[in-house]
Amino acid sequence: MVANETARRGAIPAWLPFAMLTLVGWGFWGLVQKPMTDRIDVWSVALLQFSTTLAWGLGMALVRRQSLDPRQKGLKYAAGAGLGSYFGSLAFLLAVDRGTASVVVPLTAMYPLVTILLGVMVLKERLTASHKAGVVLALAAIFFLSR
Amino acid sequence: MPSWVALSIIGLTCWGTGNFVRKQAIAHISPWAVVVFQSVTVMVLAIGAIAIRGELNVTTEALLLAIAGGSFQFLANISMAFALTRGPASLVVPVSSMYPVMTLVLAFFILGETISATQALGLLLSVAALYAFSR
Repeated sequence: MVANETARRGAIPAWLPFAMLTLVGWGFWGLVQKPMTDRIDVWSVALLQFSTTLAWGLGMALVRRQSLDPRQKGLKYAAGAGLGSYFGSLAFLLAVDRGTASVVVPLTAMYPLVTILLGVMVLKERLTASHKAGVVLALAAIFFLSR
Repeated sequence: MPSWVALSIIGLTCWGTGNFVRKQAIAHISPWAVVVFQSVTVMVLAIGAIAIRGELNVTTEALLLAIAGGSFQFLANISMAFALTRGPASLVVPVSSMYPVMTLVLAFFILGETISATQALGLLLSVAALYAFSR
């Protein structure tokens, strides 16, 4: 299914530019984390950063007249994503506090494995041989980049 | 098992599951709404943590950096949501997780930091991964 969509749309899959934009966003985000945590504590950093993110989200929703009805069906999933994001970060910070960053960072960077497993097992996503090679290369890249 | 190993496993499981759940959310509501509801959840938890700790540190410099960081975080979140509407989570998440490439390159050019041999290998592997994903 994934392979067919790729072939239909040409050489670049439709999702790849957005994934690259995500990568750019997280890349710049990563750059400001260190100078910020040098100045204030991580709890305050989290609150201030997420306030900005939420302000952007609400602003864009307002401009786009996007419905934010809390009775929408996907709300529990979006809230679940938020819970995963927050508690993942909390566990990571506590792990770094007790262990060494040089081991904790590469270990936790393997989180895409969980998404891949759930995607393939629960959502029945199918990957081509090239995509499987890409997943292995990406995980290896994440590991080495985090060292 | 050392506590930091257990915590690391909890952390990676939460992040990995969070991305999987986000894909479920996209199936029901717009990416714009997903980002808002996700951020509201995190904000509630972040405010709770600050309330328990009883202190919020803010300096002008840190606030400006937080606004920049939060803006890039929004860009990443909304792009991720749109990527998940167009592709499978099992491909979108590994690609977007290679963001240390960007941080490394930016830190090299802007902050003058050096890139180690291991990180250079990671850069090469990420290029090869992107090539494989685009096939």
